[in-house]
Amino acid sequence: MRRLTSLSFRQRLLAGGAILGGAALVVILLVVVIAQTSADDGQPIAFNHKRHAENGIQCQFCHVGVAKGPVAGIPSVEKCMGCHQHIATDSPEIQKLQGYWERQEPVPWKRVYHQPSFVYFNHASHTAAAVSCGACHGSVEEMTVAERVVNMNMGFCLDCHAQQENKDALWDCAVCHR
Amino acid sequence: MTHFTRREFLKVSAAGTATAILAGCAQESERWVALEPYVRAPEEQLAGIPNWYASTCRMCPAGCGIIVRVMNGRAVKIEGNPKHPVNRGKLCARGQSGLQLLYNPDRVTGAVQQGERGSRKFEPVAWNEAINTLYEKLDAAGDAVAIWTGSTTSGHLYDLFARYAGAVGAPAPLRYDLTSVLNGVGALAAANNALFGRAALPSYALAQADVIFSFGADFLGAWLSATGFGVEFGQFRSQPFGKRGLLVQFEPKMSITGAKADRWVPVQPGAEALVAGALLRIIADEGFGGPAKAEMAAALAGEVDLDAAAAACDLKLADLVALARAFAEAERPVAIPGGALAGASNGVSAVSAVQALNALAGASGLGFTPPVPAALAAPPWSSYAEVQALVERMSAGQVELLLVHGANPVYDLPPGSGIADALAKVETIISFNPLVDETSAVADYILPDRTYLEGWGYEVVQPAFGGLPVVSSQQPVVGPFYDVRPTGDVLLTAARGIPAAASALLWTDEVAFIKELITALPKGASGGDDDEVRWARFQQHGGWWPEAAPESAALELTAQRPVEAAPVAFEGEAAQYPYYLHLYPSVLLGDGRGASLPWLQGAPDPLTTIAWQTWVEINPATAQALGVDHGDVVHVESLHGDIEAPVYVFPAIRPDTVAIPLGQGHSDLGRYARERGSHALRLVGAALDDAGRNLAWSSLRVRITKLDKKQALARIESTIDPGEDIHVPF
Repeated sequence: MRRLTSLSFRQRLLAGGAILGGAALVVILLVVVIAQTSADDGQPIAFNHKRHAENGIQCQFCHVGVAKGPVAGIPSVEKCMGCHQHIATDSPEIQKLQGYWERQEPVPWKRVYHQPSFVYFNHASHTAAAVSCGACHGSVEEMTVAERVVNMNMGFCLDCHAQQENKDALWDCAVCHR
Repeated sequence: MTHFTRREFLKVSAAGTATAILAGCAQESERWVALEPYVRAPEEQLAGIPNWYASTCRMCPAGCGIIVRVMNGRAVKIEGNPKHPVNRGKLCARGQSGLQLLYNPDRVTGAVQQGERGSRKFEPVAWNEAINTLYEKLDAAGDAVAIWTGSTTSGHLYDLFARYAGAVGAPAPLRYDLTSVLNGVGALAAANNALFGRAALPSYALAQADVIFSFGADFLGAWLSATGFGVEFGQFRSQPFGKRGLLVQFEPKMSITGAKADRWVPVQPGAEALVAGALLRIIADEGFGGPAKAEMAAALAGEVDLDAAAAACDLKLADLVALARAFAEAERPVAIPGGALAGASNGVSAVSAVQALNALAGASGLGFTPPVPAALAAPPWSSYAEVQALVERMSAGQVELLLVHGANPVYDLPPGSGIADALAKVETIISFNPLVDETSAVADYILPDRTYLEGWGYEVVQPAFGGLPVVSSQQPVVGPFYDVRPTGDVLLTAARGIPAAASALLWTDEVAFIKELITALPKGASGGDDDEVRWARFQQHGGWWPEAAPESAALELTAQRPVEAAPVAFEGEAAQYPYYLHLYPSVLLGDGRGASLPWLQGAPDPLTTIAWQTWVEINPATAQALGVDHGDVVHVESLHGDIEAPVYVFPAIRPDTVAIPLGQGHSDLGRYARERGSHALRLVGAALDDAGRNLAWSSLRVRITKLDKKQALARIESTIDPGEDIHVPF
């Protein structure tokens, strides 16, 4: 390997530019990553999944669409208030919830998981195949505020599809991209 | 115009892509992080699963059934209702665009008051105050109230208005707008009354026809019930044993129907009735189609100059005779009179001359919609004579309060009608229209109604198809977007305080009124034994209609005498105004209502591919003589007014005719409509036709002057390649 000093001026200039460019790219990527992760935090209410699970509330009680349709759904404010007009009413987080209810405003929850629109995903067909919630979403019952612990990319989906009995059918592009 | 080199283009697009990628990164997460669940979830809604609601389209008066896809309380798509007997699952571009009326950014979001008329400075008014104002004005006006409704006024609202007017002794509500004029409803009803004793709009059984002669009726484009006719036309083209029918279109400028015809005959404007008369004469003289038909033709045919008729459509006499033979020898021929024919100075007699052709084959292809067996009827259209009477009353200061719903008189009437001055004499004008249109701009109050996707209603369909009477249902598919109130409820509340009206309008709200009328209907195709079930099925299925068409007596000619059309009196001397003017409703914008919807503005006209504009269609030979080409702005002048618009050189128009589409040239109606194109109705005077009741808008001559201006035409492409060898019939 030649030493840097043995390079021509032109080559040194190129190398320097490459290093600078690389550094700039790293900075941009960092900013993007930080921006992405910070979007997951800062939910309007620090909803505690663990507390609800400990009290024996099933996922499906709030996410009612999970066995019926493509989207599991986020409960309405009315549903939260069904319990919380009596339970833990002195908690500051519950008081935030009551504020939304009094103003008749939806709680602007931030998304944790997302599939792009070119992916056809249906919760109902997965629950019908007895895939547990935790298989894709992690141990939400151990989390306080829900976190994105699984990277739901195409490889993640295919890893599981490949292990199924009818894997030939589930391997077809048009299963998800239709 | 700026010219890019290839290198510059690549640079610019690379820069654009880079910006889009960077911006996209920032926005992608932003776009999907927000979730908005319900505050109170409706029971029937499940996230991710659409609900479909049946209702009635109200973009034009045809009364097509629609089904609307609703996702999480948002209407996202409108389709045709497959069960509906009018449109049978199909829907036109205007129907599809109804969503943009719902989501229009220029909607009036609550009750407003305007201090100075025309100032367009609207102050919000609380609804209880607005309704109280309506009550006070109604109370003060007594019988000096006038109600003006139009195509988009729901049937139930017309009925409520009519009951109110009847109770206080005011004249019945007017139902008149540009759609009714361009459809020619006045002349059609009058001619049908004269010939068959039925003052109603005709329906044509195109599906069973073997020969259709259409005299300027753009029944696949913008005439009467184009989607229903379109379905019938599809069946006409795919009959058993490969039979596909013969459609001959007589019109001065090719319409979308003309483009689909087997034969397009460019007849001189105003000569359509002459040609229809000539066909009858030939059938009578030659005895085509057997003695029965020839005898009938002989009874109906007048004295016609056959050579003049052939010359008027640039045909040899032998060709005209061949056409007459094809018509006479057909089993189920249909002749259709169009809107331009009905709007001629001899409108009623011209329509009669065409309708008489139907009588040859026992009127098998012609039908009328049977009445609905209940206290429900299609609201009648008003004639221009009735409009004139109201304008006179307004000018004389006899109208204290004018209520306008679903019509836009300032835009819909030619300036010569004196509508603007008459409105100035009315003490109070209240508009119920959802957008600030030209009439709302001079109103004192706007109490916006819900749009049809948010409101209740019904529509007694006229004309319907297949001999079925149809009451189409309208229900809210989404909650109201803004603080807007149904006009029916507003009227019922205000009328409660008026002693004369209170006893005639006893319903608590409009839904109670609709339910009472609908549950009085007999059991229809959707069944249901008790009232509640029938009411639910009425909404679920999109309306009420019987399982089978009721028996109807065959149509008989009431008077067997020659049907002769009076000669057309054109306004403007041929020497000074050398060209015939052919005005036509835009297939997309209709009578101008569609101009507020960007989907319709941006969709290209099917014949010229032009969007967003008004243009003047001129034959290539005429264009050459005038020294104009695509995009040259010309000054079009009639006896009554003038407009400027760019030229589109169009081979499928007669050299002695120029054609201009209607629908643009709004001074109001929201950001997409305002200050775009020109309003060709300004060229029209206020003359009446031979029956003295309808506006004669199509018998006009104009002159064309080239201006030293150019305006690029927003067209996708030329439909005619300059080098292409096409057949031009001139």
